[in-house]
Amino acid sequence: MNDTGQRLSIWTAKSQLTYEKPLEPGDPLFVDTAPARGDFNLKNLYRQLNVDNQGVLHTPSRKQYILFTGHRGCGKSTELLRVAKYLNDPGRYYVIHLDCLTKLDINNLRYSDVLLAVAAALLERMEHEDRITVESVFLDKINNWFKERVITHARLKNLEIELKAGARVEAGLPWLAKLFGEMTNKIGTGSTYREELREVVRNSFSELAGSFNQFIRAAEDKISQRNLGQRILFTVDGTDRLNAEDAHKFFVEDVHQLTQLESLFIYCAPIHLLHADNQLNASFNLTFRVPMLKIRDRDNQPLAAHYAIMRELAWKRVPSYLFETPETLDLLICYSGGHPRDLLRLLNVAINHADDELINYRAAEKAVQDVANDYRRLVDSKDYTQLVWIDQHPDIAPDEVNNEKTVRMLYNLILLEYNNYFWKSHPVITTLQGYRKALQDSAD
Amino acid sequence: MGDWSTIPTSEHSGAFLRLQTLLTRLNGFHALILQHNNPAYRDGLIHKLGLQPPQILDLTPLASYEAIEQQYVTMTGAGMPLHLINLENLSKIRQQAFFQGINYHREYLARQGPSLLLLWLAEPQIRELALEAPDFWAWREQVLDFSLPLKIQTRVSANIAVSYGLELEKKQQRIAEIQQYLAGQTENPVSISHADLEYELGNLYQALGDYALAEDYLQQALGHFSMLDEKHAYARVLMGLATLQFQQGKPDAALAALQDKVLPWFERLGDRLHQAEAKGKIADILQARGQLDEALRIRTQDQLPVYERLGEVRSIAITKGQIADIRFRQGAQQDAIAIYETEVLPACQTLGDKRMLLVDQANLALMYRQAGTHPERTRSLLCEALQAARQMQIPEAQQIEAILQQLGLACLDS
Repeated sequence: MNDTGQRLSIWTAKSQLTYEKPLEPGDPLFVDTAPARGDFNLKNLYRQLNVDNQGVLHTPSRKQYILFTGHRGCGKSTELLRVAKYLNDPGRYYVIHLDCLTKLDINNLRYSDVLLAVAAALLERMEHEDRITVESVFLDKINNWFKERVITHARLKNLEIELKAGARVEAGLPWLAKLFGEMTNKIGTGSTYREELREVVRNSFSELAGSFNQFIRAAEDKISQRNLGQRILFTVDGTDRLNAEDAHKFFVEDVHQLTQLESLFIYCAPIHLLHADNQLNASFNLTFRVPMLKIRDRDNQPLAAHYAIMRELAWKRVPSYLFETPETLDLLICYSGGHPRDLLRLLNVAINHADDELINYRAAEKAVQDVANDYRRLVDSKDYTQLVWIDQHPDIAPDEVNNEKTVRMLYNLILLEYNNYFWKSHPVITTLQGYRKALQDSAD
Repeated sequence: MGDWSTIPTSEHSGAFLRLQTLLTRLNGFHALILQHNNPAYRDGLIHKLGLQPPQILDLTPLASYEAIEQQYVTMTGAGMPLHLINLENLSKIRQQAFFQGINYHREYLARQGPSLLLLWLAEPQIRELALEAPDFWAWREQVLDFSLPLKIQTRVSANIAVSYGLELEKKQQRIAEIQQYLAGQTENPVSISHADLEYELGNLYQALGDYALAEDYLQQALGHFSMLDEKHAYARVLMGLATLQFQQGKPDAALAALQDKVLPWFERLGDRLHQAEAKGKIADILQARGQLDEALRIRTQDQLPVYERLGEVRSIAITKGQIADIRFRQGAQQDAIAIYETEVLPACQTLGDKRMLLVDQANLALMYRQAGTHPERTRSLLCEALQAARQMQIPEAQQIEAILQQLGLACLDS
C-alpha cells in the first residue's frame, strides 16, 4: 500500500527495487538488518572509537585509521551512513562524510585527491553549515602552502585568478573553503589543472599534511566550544570501488601518506584487499567487516529469524500481496544467500517474468535460473571442485583455504562470507550443472 | 535496408517481448545487457523495437573511454533509450579501458544517462564486463540472450568436410559395414587399421549427431593410437574430440582443448596443415561467440596463407567462404557478397565439386536476401542449387525447397 492506502501495482513496486542509492538513515525503505548479520554489532566499531555502549565518548585517540569492508552490495554504504549519523553528535564526533564517487573521479584516485577533498568537506561544513570561525594564525600555514607551492607552479598561475573571481572575501575560512572546494572540483572533473595540482600536492605533501593537521586541532577546539562534537571524524565512501591494482596502491603503497593526516578516518575498502594483503594490519587499527545477512548457518540450515528480516526488507519494496504464496518470496530469499542486492535483483527479475500482477513460484524459479546463468559466466570450470569442498567442510577456517582463487571468488560473490567467519558458495551457483557434477564426483 | 521479417526468431520471441515490456515500463536509469553473436541480427532487433530513429552509439570509431563518455552524454540528451554496440570490435586495451571507465563512473553515467542503456555484447565481453566492471555489472537490470544457434547462421550446411559426401542412408550403411568388420577382429594388440576404423566410426556418428557414440569411438581410437605411438593420428583424434565438445555445447572446453592440447601437438609435429585446421576450429568457436575480429584474423592470417602455400585449393575455397561469412556478420555485406561471387563460387567450379557449389550458391542467395539487393540473382542462385541437389538426390534439396518457400520464391521449372 502507498501512503494513501492504495495497493501498489507490480510495476510501481519494481521502481522501488533500485540499486543506485544507499539508504539515508530514516528512509522509509530502511530495515535494520544488523540482527540478521550474525555476530555483528556496530558497537564494536564504536568502541574502537572510544564510544561506550551508552553512547558516551571517552578520551579518543589522536588518530585512527579504520577499514570498513564487506561484499559488494551487502549494504556497506547504507551502514556507513548510519555510523556517520550516530557518531555525529555533540557528545561524540563532528563527522565529515565524503563520497568519493560524487566528489572525485576515482579513476586513478590518489591520496592527494582525498586530502584535498576531506579538507574541502570539512571547511565547507564549518563555513556554510555551522559558521565556525578559526583564527587566521591557524590558517596561515595552509594559505602559505597555496601561495608558495600551488600558484608558483608554472601551469597553475591562472588558478588563483579564477579562484578569486566571484570570491567575496579572500581571507579566512571562507576563502579556504572556496579554495579547497575549487581544487577538489578541478581534480574531480578532470580539468586541465588536475595533474599539476596532484603533482604539487604529492611533492609537498608533508608540508600540506602538517598544515592541515594544525588546522584540524584548532578546528576541533572551536567545534568543541560550540558543542558540535568533541573530535573530528572523517568517513570516506567509494574507495571500495577501486580495483585490485588501484586499491593496493591506495591502501598499501600510499598508506604512509594516508596516515600522515592526524585524525580519525573510516575508509570503505574492497573485501578482496583484506584477503590478498597482510600488510594492512600494520597500518590500520581495525578492519570492520559488514557481513552478509546470515540466513543459513554453516551447516546450511535456514535461520528462521533472519528470514523474517529479509522478508521485511522485501515487503518494504514489494508488498506481500504481490506474491502468489509466501513460499515464492522464501525461494528468492533462499537463493539470495543473504545478499541484499541479490535479493533485490531476484525480485526484479521475477517481476520481469511475472504474468500479470502477481509474482508466482514459476516466475521466481525463472529468476533464480537467470541469476544463476549470470553467475555461471564468472565461474571457471575448475572452481566448482573447490566450491563443493568448501561447502562440505564448513568447520575449516577460511584462512586455511585462502588463496588467489578464493580471493577472486569472494570478489565476484561466488563465495559469500558470513559471521562467525565461514564461507559458502552463493546458493545460485549450487544450481549450476558444473557444481552438481563436482558434487557428484565428490560423492563417488 | 535488410530483410527483418524473420526477426526475432521463435527462440527469441519471449526475450524480445520481455525487452519490449521493459522498454515501456522502466523509469530511471537501468542497464540491460543483451547478448548476441550476429551484428546483422542485432541491428534487425534494434530496428524491430520500433523506436525511430534508434539512438545508437557505435564504439568502433571512438578512440578513448573519455571520447565514449563524451558522446554518451551528448546522445543521452534526447532522453531515448541508448544502444551501445560494437565493443567486440575494440582492441583488448580499449575494451579494458571501457570496463574500468564504466565501473568507476557508474554513478556519473546514471546521473547523465538516459532511462535505458542497452549494451549489446558478445558472450566473452559479458564475462569480461562481469569480471572487470563488477560494480557496473551489479547494477544490471537483466541479461537477455539473443544469440543465434549455429544452424540458423547463414551457412546452409555447417561443416562440409565431415559429411564425406554421403547421405544419411549411406552413412548408416558404412557404420554397419565397419562394425561388422570390427566385431570379427580379435587381434591383440589392436592394429593401426583397427584404430583408423574406430576413428572413422567416431566421425560418422558425429556427423549423424549421435555424440555419445561418437565420443566412445573417438576415445577408443585415441587410446589405441596412443598405444601404437601414432602421434599424428592421436593429434587428429584429439582435434575430433575438441570439435565434438563444441558441438555438444561446450565451447569453453573445446577452445581450451584446441589451444592447450591440439595445437601444441601439431606444432611439435611440425604439421602446418593441421595447425591451420586446428586454428580454423578455434576460429569457428570464436565466430560462434561473436568474436568476429579475432576469427577473421585467424582465417586471413593463420589459415589462408598456409593453405595457399601448400596448394590446398579446397581448403582455400572453404576458408574464403568462412571469411565472407564473417564479413557479412560484421555488416560488410557487399564485401562478403563480392568474395562469394569472385572467389568462392569460381573455386567450387574449378574443383568440380557440385555439392560444395550448390551449398555456396544457397548461402550467397541468403546473403543477397538479407542485404535486400538483387532479388533475381537470389532466385536464380537458389533454383540452380535446387536443380543440382535434386539431380544428386541429396538432402540439401529439401533444405533449399524450404528456403524458397519461406522466401515466397518459385523456380520456373517447378
